[in-house]
Amino acid sequence: MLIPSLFILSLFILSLLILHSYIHRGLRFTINFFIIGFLWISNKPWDEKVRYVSSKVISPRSDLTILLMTTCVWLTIFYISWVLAEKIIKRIKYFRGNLFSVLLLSSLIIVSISHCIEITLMHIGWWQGRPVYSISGFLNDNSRFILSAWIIFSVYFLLAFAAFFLIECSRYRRTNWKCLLIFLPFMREWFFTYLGPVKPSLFRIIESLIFGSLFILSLICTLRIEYCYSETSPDRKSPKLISSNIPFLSTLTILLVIFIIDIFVLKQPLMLISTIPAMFFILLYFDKIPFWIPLILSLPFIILWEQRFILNIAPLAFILILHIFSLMKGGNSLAQ
Amino acid sequence: MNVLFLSITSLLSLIFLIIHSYLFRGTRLTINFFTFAFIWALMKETIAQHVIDRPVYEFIDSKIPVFLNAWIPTIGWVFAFYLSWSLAEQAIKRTKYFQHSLFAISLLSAIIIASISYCVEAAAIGTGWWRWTIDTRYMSNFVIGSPFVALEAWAFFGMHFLLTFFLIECSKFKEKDWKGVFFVIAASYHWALRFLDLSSPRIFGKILISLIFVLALTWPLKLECCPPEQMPIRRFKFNRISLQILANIPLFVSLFMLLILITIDIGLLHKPELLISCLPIIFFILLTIDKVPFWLLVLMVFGSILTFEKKLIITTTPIIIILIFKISSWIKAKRGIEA
Repeated sequence: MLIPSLFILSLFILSLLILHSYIHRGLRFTINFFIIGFLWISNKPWDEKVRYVSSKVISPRSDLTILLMTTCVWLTIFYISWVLAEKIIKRIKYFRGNLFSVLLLSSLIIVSISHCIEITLMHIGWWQGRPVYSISGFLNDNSRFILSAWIIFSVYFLLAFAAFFLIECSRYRRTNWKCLLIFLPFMREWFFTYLGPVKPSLFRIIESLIFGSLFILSLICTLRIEYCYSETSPDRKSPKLISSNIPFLSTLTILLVIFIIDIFVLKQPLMLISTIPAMFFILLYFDKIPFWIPLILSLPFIILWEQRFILNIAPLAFILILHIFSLMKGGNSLAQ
Repeated sequence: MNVLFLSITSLLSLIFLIIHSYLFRGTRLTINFFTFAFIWALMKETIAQHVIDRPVYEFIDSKIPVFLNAWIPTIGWVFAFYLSWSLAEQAIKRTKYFQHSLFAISLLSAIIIASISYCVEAAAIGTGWWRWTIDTRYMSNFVIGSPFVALEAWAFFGMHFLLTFFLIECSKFKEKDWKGVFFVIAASYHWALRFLDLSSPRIFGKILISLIFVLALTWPLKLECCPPEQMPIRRFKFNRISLQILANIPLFVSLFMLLILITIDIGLLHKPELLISCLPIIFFILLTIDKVPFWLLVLMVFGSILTFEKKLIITTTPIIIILIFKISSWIKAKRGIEA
């Protein structure tokens, strides 16, 4: 009963996000993002036979139902992460609207939000495996596995949407050769599909290379996001307060559901630890909360769990680097 | 001769087709067509060869590296997609009303892809390049050397791709914000292949092809490619003969393909009866040559049906389709309906 209810909730949130996208980014972006996103994500399990990391769905439902459920959850998280990242990057003037910075931050937010969702879903029996939580080592083997899986999924998002945003929302939209960028996400897929069994270390190297090169690009490349609005798009000059905060409210709803499940259904309040990184982003979403507050708040966790928590605060570290870089570049000046 | 030979010749021919596309359709359309065709065909072949439990066909040649199992057919698909489009555009010119009809060209392209598949499959199965692992008895009385399901599969797959591409890139919907919705047509093939049983793409294909046929007769949606004044060929100073040669690259490529297949059927397999499988594409090639009168082709079709009976019914499809479009065009002209 719980899983169908969660699916319906996710579908509801997704519909609200589609509405948000339509109001704030226009019809063309909305259709292309959600349709191409759906097609891309729904084709993900094409590498089932060569999957290197993935959790096994334990459900009596058909493949198609599972596909629809997971695709909706993925799309929801991808869109929320993009909007949150865009809003947070807006606070750093030099990087405002920088495509690669937003892309990298959104992929890190994906890892944070998905981490808590995944752990809760694993406990309620959606996925195989039951991670055991304890204060001394909340990142045990299972949750480490989840985290590494989501980093890979995040890269999956990263390359596909890098291609999407470069084609749809950058100055390359007007070029004749823009479609060649589609090869970007496929190259990784084909590499893993046709290379056969590959050592996990190679995957880690490739993922690190992708993250690393994107990190460098986000610092040195000043390519800006240019949405393609059209006459059919609604008037963007007067967005309503509620509609503009749909992604934020959706994130809150997701976290609230996780709270309820962890505390009242699973009765494991310790699992709430996994929601901490996502909570930092909620704080960063508000312009009035200074950046150093979530940074200071994260310090006790780093001291308590040492390197096990470092990966979870990677987005904060990335924002800190952007801030420092922005200050070095002359503070308030915008990247041209 | 092996599968690698087939793929190398396809690749060479494909290069010529890319040149033709660039010269006569422009950079944007060329890049978009070949990029999407390649990615979409490779996705299908990856699912067919690596994801679903039992591939519908398999390569017999054990020397082929596993990773090429999906890449070789992909080259063939891209080649077949473009060749069929170019031949269909030429053949449909025989009917005034339908010469720019998007649906008529899509339908005809799908039938040309099936015609290409007929002769390729007959030669490939005969030489033992690959074999079908599913039951191929369906309508086997009507074909020779190749399973009928293969013809259907090629036609439906081509149809899904070309229709999606034409609607997004070569129609009045090109400027619409919602054109991305058409991707669902192409994706439905992959979904059916992965999540339903193997016969489902065929069922979807039959529904789609019937729908396209009805739309072709009723909705004169235009196929809008590169306007003549914007063709990159205008930038080069070719003489008339060179221009003629370049414009007819698809025709030469199809003749080259036919030559190889006829050599295999007669010289290698010593099975002249397999030449029947080449008849549909021969009819299409003749249809693209303006100087060949249509009544002569109709006469040839009837003559061959009388000789070989039901084995030849399938081969008459190109002429019958054009005949239907010609009659429909004539009726529309009588009623004063203009394209």
